[in-house]
Amino acid sequence: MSRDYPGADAEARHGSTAHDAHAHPTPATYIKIAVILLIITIAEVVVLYIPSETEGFGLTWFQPVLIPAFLILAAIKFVIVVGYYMHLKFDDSFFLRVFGFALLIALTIATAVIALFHGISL
Amino acid sequence: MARAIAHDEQGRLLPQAGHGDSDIHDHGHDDHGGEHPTSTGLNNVKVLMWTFIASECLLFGSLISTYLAVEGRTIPNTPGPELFDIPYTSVSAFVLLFSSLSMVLALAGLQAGDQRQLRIWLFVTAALGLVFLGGQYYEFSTFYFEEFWLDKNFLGSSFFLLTGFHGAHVTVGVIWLLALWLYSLRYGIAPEKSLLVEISGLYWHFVDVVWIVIFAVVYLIPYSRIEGGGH
Amino acid sequence: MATTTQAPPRVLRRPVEAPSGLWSWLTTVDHKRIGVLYGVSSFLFFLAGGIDALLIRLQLGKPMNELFSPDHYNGFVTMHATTMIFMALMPMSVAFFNYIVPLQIGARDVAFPRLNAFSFWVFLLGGLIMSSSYLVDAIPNQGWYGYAPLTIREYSPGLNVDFWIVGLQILGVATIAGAINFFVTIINMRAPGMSLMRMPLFCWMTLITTVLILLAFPVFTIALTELLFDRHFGTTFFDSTRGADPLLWQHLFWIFGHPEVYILIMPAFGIISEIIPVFSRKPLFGYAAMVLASMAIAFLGFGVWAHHMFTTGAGPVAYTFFALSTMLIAVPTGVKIFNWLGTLYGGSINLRPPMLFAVGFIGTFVIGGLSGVMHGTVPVDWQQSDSYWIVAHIHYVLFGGTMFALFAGIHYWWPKFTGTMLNDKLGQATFWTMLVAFHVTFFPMHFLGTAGMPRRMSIYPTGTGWDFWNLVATVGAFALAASVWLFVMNAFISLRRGEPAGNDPWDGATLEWAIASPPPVYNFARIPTVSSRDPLWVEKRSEETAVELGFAPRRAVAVVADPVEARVHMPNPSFWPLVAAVGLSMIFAGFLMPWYLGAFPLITLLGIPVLMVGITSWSFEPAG
Repeated sequence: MSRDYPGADAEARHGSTAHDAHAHPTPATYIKIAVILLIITIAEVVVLYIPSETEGFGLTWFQPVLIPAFLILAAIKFVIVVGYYMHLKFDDSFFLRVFGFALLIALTIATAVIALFHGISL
Repeated sequence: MARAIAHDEQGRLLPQAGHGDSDIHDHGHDDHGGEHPTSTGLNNVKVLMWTFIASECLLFGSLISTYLAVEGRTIPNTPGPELFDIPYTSVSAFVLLFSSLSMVLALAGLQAGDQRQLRIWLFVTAALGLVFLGGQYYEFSTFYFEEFWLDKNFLGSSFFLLTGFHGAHVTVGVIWLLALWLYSLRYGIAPEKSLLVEISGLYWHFVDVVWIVIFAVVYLIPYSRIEGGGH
Repeated sequence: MATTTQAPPRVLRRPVEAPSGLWSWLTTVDHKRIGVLYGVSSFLFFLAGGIDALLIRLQLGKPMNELFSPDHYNGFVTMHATTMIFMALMPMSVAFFNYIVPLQIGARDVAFPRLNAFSFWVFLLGGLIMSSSYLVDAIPNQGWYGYAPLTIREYSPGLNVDFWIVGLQILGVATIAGAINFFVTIINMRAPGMSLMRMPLFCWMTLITTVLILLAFPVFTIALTELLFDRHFGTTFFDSTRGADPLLWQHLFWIFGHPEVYILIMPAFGIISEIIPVFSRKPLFGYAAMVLASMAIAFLGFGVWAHHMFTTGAGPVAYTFFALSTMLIAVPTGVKIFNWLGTLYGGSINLRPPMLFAVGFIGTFVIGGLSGVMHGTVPVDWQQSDSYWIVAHIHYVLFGGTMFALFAGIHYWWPKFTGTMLNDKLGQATFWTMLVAFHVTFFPMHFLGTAGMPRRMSIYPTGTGWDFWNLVATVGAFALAASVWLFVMNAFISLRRGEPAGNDPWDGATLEWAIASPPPVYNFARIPTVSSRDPLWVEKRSEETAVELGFAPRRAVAVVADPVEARVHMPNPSFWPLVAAVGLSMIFAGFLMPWYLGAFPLITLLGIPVLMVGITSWSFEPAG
């Protein structure tokens, strides 16, 4: 990799070998990630069925935390796919900033709209 | 964005004009040399793809907001989330997740110079996309016969528009991947042109990520809120 | 996406002189030609929207006027706003993006020349489809904001609303495609040394505008799609009789709509920030503050949308939040105004027509900005909402603001576009007529609004006390039309027998003035290296000093007139962007035609293969 290719500056700034092939996850890592994603997806479905199945066992407290649980599990899957499969973790931080800014605006607006419609206005 | 880079080294002063749309094949992955220097060192097409994906966040954000804004206001005696078949949908969700895996394996294969891996995994990805679409067709038709359709109530309208929009994105992705697969069969794709596969991969993973959100927000949460929990 | 060609040789033997003829315009991918196409078509749409405005003012010139039916009047009101916003002001800004941005950042073209051509053709077809509603007497007549549930089929059975949806969807595709292209261009195509913080302010404003477009337009696309589905597929997004909430439309529309007003004003800020330093002969005051203030405006712009909905009963928390954020936006806007004043202060001011328009912009925009802050206050908004006060405000910011800046830009860059000067006297006359006529037209609307005249009414009774100021506004509107006519005359005279402009008639500071007027196809024979914010000034001054002291001048940006150097490889012209644009427009236009067997939008189905052929051929042809 010669120093004069255009990514050279960016790479130097990162101070790492992020662009080198061995810094990318290997196929084995990708498969491990897929297994983690599978486990989380199964966890989501299991969590959905827990409260009603186990009411007799005093687990009804689970119902109120169900929605946050789904959101957190989905967020974890989201971050894993974006970070590893889309290489955002290893790629130039410019892409992270572009994507992150749009996501921030989208989430903020969506939250505000949902709050306004559901009368969550204190 | 403050990447103030002054490229004033030799050979940088006469870049090729145009940086035309299809010179994706000239650029290659930014690992593999920069025939066309850009100000940031990042490939134009890749920046385009990420910008497009950023814009798509707002597209799906609006659809999901529409769905959630009026969620829980179903007209009495019209179909709702109780029709969702969660185990079935979670299989669909995993089909799409697995297609993301095969997509990265295709790219890894190409970057390792293994054309066979590339072809196999490109095909598997497109095929899984088709399986997902088939599953969605079956799901939609089941809902249709159970009187849950886009003209029945607000929930139906927003559900079918959102999932339909996602399905349209998957369809575009499948066509794109099949085109790449046929191309790789006929001509092969050189490792230094791996950007071709990387860009389609970014799109494909984004569509997958959207489904992760839809699965939680559109299926699981409303289903968990209906009377009696998960039955 | 894939292509069979090898990387082209670095220097091509193909000559780079501009070819001529209709075919060359249909297939052009040159950013300057596309800029001209955008400029001419948006100016024609501007004239069309202006005629709508004159018809509106004719109708309102006297009480109980029965010149037009209320239906047609509603059509003129809707089409005036829609045309001006989406088909005149935005694309005219895009014309400047196209022509000026690559020149200012020292590039030979945009990042994706064919995507650029695609954007233009989609825009033109969208505008023509929207305007064709006049031919079939189905002018959109529901208001440019299209409030639900008036727009659903039950209340608007005709094709009127469909024309509006289809036209805007097509225009939206053009806008988003263009925004992505310019975002990548500015991020990635800058000349060596042109760091972001050395970019001309106009390029900064373009960058921020593209970000706003990319984040705001998708929301509108979805809102329009939902409306389209309501009208054609029986969905119930906005049908309150079937469990929907009509406020959903207002939220989605204004989440898009408020950033949209910044999309309209940001390029104007950029143009003004280019002109004021050049005609004050002094670098821009507070460059970094200008950039940060613009970012702040763009960011805050996403958090103010509900101030358009203060009369819908959102509750005190929402009111407080949106009122505060609205007023907060005035702070960075004020920063910009003071920076312009700071640039003017102590400058050696040269009041040529571009500068006149720029200074006029500052004055009228401040009035419009202040009246905007006024109805950011909730109780005041309750008083002013839906009154002529709002009409006055919007025209102070969009005509007194954006349009004055666009005229300033036209007068400033005309010599670069055409190689000839506009007549100075006529330019002065245009400005003074426009300034006076503008205030005569729109200032009385403040009085009318305060006196309780509602906007959008086609007929008003006698004895309301509104007659006089309405008449004044109507007279003013025709004087405004006269000022536009003066400009058109000036333009034709300049094209026929204008004085040659030379490369640099204004002693400009930015790179576009370093090259010939009009620029050669390849713009820069040698890509310049930039070492300051005002590269051309630095070079010219150092040249003067060098000559005085007997040195060889340092040429950082000077054009090398070497014909061998000028043999630059440029992208091939392409026909496929036009084909793809036609296919895309057909897909949407299908919703305006009778459906095949009543079940399929036939033209839509025919459009899909056309689009596919366009995209496939585009992908596989050699880019150049």
